[in-house]
Amino acid sequence: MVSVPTIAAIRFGAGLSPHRPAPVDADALYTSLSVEAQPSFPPQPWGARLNLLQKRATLLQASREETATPADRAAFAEAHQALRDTSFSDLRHSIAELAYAGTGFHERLTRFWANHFATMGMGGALLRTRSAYINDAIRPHVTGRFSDMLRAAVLHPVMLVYLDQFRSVGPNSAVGRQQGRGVNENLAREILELHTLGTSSTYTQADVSQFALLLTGVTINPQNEFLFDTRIAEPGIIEVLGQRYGARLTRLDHIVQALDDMARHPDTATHIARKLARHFVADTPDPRLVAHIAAAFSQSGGDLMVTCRALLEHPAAWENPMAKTRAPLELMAAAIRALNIPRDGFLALPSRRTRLELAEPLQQMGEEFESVPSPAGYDDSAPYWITPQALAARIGWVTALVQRWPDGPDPRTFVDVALGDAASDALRRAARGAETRAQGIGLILASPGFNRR
Amino acid sequence: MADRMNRRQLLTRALALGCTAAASPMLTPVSFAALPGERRLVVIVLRGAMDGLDVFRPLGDPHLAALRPHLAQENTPLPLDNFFALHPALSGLMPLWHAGEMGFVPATSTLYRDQRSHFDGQDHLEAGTAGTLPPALQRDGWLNRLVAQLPGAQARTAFAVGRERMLILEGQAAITQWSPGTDLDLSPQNRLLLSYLFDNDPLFAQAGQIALEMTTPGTDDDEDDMPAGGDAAGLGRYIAQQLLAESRIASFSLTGWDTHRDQHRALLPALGRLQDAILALRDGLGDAWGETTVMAMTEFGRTARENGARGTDHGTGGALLLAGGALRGQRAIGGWPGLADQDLYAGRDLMPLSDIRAYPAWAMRDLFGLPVSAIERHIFAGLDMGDSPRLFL
Repeated sequence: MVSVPTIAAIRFGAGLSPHRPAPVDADALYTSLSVEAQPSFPPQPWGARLNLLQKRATLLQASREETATPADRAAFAEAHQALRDTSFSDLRHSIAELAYAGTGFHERLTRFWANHFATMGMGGALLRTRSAYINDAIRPHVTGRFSDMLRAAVLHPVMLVYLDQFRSVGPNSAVGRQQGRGVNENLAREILELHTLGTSSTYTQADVSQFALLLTGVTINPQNEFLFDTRIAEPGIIEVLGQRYGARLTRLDHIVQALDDMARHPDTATHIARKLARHFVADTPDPRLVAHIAAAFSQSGGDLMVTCRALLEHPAAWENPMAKTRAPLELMAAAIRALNIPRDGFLALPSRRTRLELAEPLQQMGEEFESVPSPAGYDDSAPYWITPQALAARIGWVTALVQRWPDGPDPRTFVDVALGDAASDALRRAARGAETRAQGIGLILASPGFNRR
Repeated sequence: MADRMNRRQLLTRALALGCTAAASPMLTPVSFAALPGERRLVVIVLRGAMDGLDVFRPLGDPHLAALRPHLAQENTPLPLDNFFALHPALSGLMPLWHAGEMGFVPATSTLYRDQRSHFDGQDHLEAGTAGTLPPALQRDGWLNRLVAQLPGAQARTAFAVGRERMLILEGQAAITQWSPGTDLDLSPQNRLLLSYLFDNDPLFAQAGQIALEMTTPGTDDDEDDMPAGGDAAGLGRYIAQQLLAESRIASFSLTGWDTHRDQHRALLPALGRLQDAILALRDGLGDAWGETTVMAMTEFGRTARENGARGTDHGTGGALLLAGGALRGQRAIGGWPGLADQDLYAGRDLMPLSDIRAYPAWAMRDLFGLPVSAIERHIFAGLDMGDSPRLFL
């Protein structure tokens, strides 16, 4: 039998640690949400990131002029490096938020929502901005309201570019009539299909088209900041999902109203509940668990603390432990946590080593940093991560980690540190049978047991 | 699914793994009779926009020198016919040219116009759709759609090689993906123990055994040597091995074509890799080279004029390189639009004379016997294949 604290740490948290006690029960996990709501490693604010990107873009332009001097090119190289450094610092922070957390439940939720509202920076102007987007749009709302997160995520410049909203023009708006430009349905479709109601809902193509019309006006300015531009906004009353929005002149609050209504839609509650249960508990979660979470989501008006409590308090959330697999970054953080690798040294890793030791291995394991495979995010099924290629990369990474960490513990005790009572007899035997301590540690970290959660 | 074992190794594994292997479709030996023939197609995606005007330099065009005052003076090219000349960094391909095993389309492109973004351009090239791209979620690649049309295709029939995403091979049909150069430094004992642990977990058993098998350095008793990451010749040799075994379709990327500055130098490494890859494919395939076609295609061309930094910027019309033992080569295919101001696209780019999809489309018809109607309906929707460019002997 796997104990409740072990399930709490591995299924909902960042994993077991030799120095941080496992959360004793659901209450301990729930309480940790408020404690861990503020990031331990404060990220660069979005505005500062935009400034960095703008500076880089300007210097890139200058370095390509006919009159460009070596100094111009050096200035661009420096700005580009500054962007890389900041982005790699984000990567170390996102691993550290798990590895050095009390429980890590808040950060696990942050990752869940970041994947739900999956996006990434497209083009040079928003290069390497997925992590910054998560910090700006997702993280502040993980213990808040779904409607607030929805608004922050889908109206974020990174999302507006990724899903082509900035190309969308109301055909009857001033600009649309003048230039004959039209609507782009991408963002509208994904909001309905992925972010709110879900594919099992009954919205129609007409809803998508109408919602796309309603969203016109939402765009970015040349500085890549959010802009509501009335000159491209489709005028008139627009009906989406049976509700009428807009006016002779559409305003941003009409769009916000539509988003709020979608957040409140019963299908959204079920969609979110199923995804949460699927992410944390099982590929095919118990329908009673899903219904329980959906009810809490609905009744609380999308209060995510209440929703999380519903997830944690249902007995089905504690059954069949280790049914899921750790995503690559979760594996890294869990290994660093179990080995108790010193925090300050990890945070101070220079960019080059961050790339070689973290970013490239993540890509090989299938979770490329600052990137998502599609607007639907990473698939959230257990087998998704376990391909031969990705598994080879996991084995390679833990082997290299252990080699860089020669003063590792004894594998026979490390089994308990890393997996507690979730360690299988086979793993205990194998750990004893390794040729060296380092190999034993590597074996434990590469084992199926440690790669499950 | 990733996997690089040849048939012999598969059989060995199937025996060694006993019931695990028997239960796994991936490790079940496939019958050669079921394979879709002996013809082979390799698509190299040249990411970054190759400057066709520099690679197949139109010396016969009177406007070239004025458009490219510096670039046209650099890297003295090797005459191909009385109009075009080959970049000297591809001099190793001249024997192929003379043997009729290389040709090129100097002015073609996807239907993507005016935005000139690498990402979107590559997506257009790989998705092979007409008009606006489908939403990212619904995108798949035309090589994958080809696999879906091949009777008897197995997961190993098509092979995506490398760490980069290959949209061109993504889609419903099962394909194989593997990055060469991922050997693991594990002791034999450690491998044994890991293998024991993986076998004890159904979710990990199959992937784990393949991962261990593929990452064992130096166990291959024959030609299966895995190249390191940036080694194009190794990549070519590796793909040749796959094509000699069960694979018939392979695709990989070569990068380094985005030559905004000092193109006379910047283009050399990329061309060197392209030449290495093609020659390694030819050498590695041996007699099977006669059944093989290589298409190297890029997302778009570059500006007709050189820029102030002696480079070129993102353009429209570009070149497609063809090689292979059965090619009716030693010729420029598809005409030349000219470089006079009024002949350029938007006054700045080489004018594409064709939809680039027509060339792989005809290759599919001629190599794999697919009907034109199936290609136009299922693989390249919206394409009118037009007259055959008669690519093959």
